[in-house]
Amino acid sequence: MSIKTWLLLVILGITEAAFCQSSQQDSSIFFQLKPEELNTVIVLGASNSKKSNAVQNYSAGANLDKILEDNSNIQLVKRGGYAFEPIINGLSGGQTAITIDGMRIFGACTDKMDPVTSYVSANNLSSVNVNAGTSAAEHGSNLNASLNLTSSKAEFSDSLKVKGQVDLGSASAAREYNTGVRLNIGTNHWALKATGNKRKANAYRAGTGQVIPFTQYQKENLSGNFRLKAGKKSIIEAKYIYDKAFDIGYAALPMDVALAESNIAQLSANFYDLLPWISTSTVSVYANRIEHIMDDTKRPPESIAMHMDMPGETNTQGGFGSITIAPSNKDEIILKVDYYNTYQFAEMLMYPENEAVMYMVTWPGVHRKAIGFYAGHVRNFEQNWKLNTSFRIENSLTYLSDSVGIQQLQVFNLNGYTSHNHQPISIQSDLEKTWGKQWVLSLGGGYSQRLPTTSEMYGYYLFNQSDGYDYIGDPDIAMETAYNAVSSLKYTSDKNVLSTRINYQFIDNYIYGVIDPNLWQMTIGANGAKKYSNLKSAQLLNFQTSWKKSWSEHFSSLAEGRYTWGEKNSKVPLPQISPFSYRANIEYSKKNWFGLVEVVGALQQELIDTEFIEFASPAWAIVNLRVKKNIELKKQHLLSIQMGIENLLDSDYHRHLDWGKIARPGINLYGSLSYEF
Amino acid sequence: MVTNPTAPTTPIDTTDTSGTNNPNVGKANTDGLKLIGKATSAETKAKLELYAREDLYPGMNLLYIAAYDSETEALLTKGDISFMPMMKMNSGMEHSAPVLNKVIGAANSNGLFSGQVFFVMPSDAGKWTLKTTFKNGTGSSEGEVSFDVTVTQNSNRMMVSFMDTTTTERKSIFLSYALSENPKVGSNELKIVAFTRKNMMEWPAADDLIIEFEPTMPSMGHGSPNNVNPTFTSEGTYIGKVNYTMTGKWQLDLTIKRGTQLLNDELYFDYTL
Repeated sequence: MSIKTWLLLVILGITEAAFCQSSQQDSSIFFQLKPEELNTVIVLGASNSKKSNAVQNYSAGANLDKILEDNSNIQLVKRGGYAFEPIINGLSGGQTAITIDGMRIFGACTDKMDPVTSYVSANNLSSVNVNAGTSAAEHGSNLNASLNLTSSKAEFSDSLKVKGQVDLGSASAAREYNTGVRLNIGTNHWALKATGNKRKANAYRAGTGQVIPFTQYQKENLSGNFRLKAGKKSIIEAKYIYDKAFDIGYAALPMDVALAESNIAQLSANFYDLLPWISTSTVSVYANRIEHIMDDTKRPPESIAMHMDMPGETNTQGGFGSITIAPSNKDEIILKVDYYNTYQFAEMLMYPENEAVMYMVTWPGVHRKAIGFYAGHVRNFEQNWKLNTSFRIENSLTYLSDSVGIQQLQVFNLNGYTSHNHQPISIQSDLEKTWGKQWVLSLGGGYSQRLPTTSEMYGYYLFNQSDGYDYIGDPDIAMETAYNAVSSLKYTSDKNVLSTRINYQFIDNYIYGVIDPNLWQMTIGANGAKKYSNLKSAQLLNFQTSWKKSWSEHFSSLAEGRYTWGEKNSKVPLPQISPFSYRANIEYSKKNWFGLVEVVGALQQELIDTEFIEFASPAWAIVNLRVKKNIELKKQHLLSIQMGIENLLDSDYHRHLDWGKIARPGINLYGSLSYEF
Repeated sequence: MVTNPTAPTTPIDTTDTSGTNNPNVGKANTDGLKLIGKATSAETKAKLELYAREDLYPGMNLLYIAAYDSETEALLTKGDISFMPMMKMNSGMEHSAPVLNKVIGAANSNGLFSGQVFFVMPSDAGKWTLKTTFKNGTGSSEGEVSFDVTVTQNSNRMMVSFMDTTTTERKSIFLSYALSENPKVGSNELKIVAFTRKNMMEWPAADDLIIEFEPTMPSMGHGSPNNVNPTFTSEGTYIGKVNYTMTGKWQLDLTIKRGTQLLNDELYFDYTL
């Protein structure tokens, strides 16, 4: 697909994506960096047989966390073997907005153990958009870093046609297996797609040779997508995603997870060319529920002070409507109104010996209603100048409904009946200039604000294993406000693609846990209590560069590096910032053969946040190999065999964002079979 | 004023007198209360029912009397009530216990007369009797009845005492964590009522103490923020604020001073929410 098509894809959003991808099969994944848009689209589902140099193949059953980690915009906080927390360009949690097809979904764990990305599976997604710049705020307020996961759609067909795919995979380090099935029934009027995926991983073996306890997990995912053509210009779509993960070990935490379960439903209607100047319009309603239950019963009794239960849940309903207008052949405007209502509740029960149960509400029944308006405008000028501009305003109301939660706030002399109103605003703009077909320069900047999270406003003694403090929210905390400037340059020739991007953010009212000596810790053995507070400011700088080269018809290479720097106004580094990291690979592809040798690594990180009780981490590098062969059995029946070795040299290493310095998997031999019909 | 239950001086509880004007009161509202005993006073032609919020325990007990005309069964809402607890110990020795009587000339809106009785020990060591004097406001008669009551040590520690060795009399001081309603998670009034045991029968209020406290959860090893030490208001009553951050067993460690002089810092109350 051309760059322009991708541009359109992002601008038009999820509805258009369905059409663009209707010709694609679903068994491999590639990244495409689009510096002129400041966004990255990770595509899951590009055709096996028609891949460009940019293609990096994954097996269809590939773990989504691994796919995300290979993207240079994303780093992951690892606490076990599953549900890694994405950090996008140094931003995390409430600073980012993670959505599925524009739906707002909120993890139900007070300790960030279930990011939204953990409730989907690679085989029911068609792409992941990492957005920064003008499109970042389309689905919700954030500090210029958002992630929208696009689910795969049922595909129409000129006549009744059944297509499908079966995947089997296995990997050695965690004695892991996964199976996946996808089935698509398409007609000219309606189409139905169903997917199922199951994965089981045992505790993995690290490079030290030791098995790391509490890194196991199991996951089951089911999804259904139904689309119906209603007339010539509209499509109605219904989808359901069910995900259940259980027996999840969190080696870096004192507890595991017994169950993380989500039910996600969405009903949408898309209209095309309703009026000559309205190219698409979408109306969508959705609801989702997430339940998360922690579990300390598998831990050795001597390692836990007392048994605890910590269940949490979120319930979110919402809807949005958007239209894309092309008032002239040089302008495109998207207007969107969205609304959501979320309820977040978590509690904690502790069972001391021979004493009454101790109970508290850690998320005190927090309601949030938010309505947002987003407008984006692309204008093409003479001589290949282009201006992207976007604006978002949101109005949100946050209040409590749990009576115990309201009472609890009295201990901080706070009135739990007070509701809180926030109006985050985001304005982003970038100017792009293309010289010939080779050079694209983009300069942009803007202003963005984001809502404080439930934990930041109302968290009640939330234990953070990383620094050993209990965190307490502040209902009156101010919104973070970021001023950003971004510049990117890309050079494309027949043999070379070179790109760099630098992004600087100055964040006012940076939200950070500050030790409050007047507050007791709650957790046994904790160092004390921290209260979420607004620091005066913080700064964040991201730099990325990459070079792709085609050496011959069959050989190509990629080298990329990224660096993030962050500092609080106290001159102390921001916590959880990755050091300089790099990736270099050589790819071979010929007809149905594909091979890859890759080195991935990072330098040591010594810029650490001592206030967060963070430790320096050493440099590391690993070597990965991957071979893939596609066999066309008969027409449109494709067997794909993939084998690979991760961490070929069996290095004992951990990455800077891995909590507890828990070693990563050692040598990991994996294989997968994928059969498309 | 506490010492003599027959000489009530507690101010009238003006917030609680609507009952006299409530024509609908035919039966006292004892919802949430537990019947402790019944007695009939011949002099006043009244049947008295004694209620408490729970089984009687060492510490401050809020007691309620529902009075009915023994002939017509009509609820009597005018009058005075006063309590006088007596302990006859197994050794033969007798003593009373402190009382704060809320004698108001009329029953409260629930048709109940109330008072606060501070049992200083459980019934294990002897036998508690609650002498109750009722002055029937309707007929201006007065009579006394006795309830045999059982005081049981429950799982909470609501009454503590120590000997004040800083004075030559070396009297014992009794402190009670007085609850008018069950504490809950969040912010709660902390009422501590203190008495000096002058002799077996006289328990004057101890009005000159400085009480500091620290709430902790012994099984967790933590406390709670923003507590306010109780300060003297009247009649041995000290009022402050205690914050409970969660349910479970809480311990209130006490430091008792007179002026700057430390009297005791080893006592504690405990209460399970």
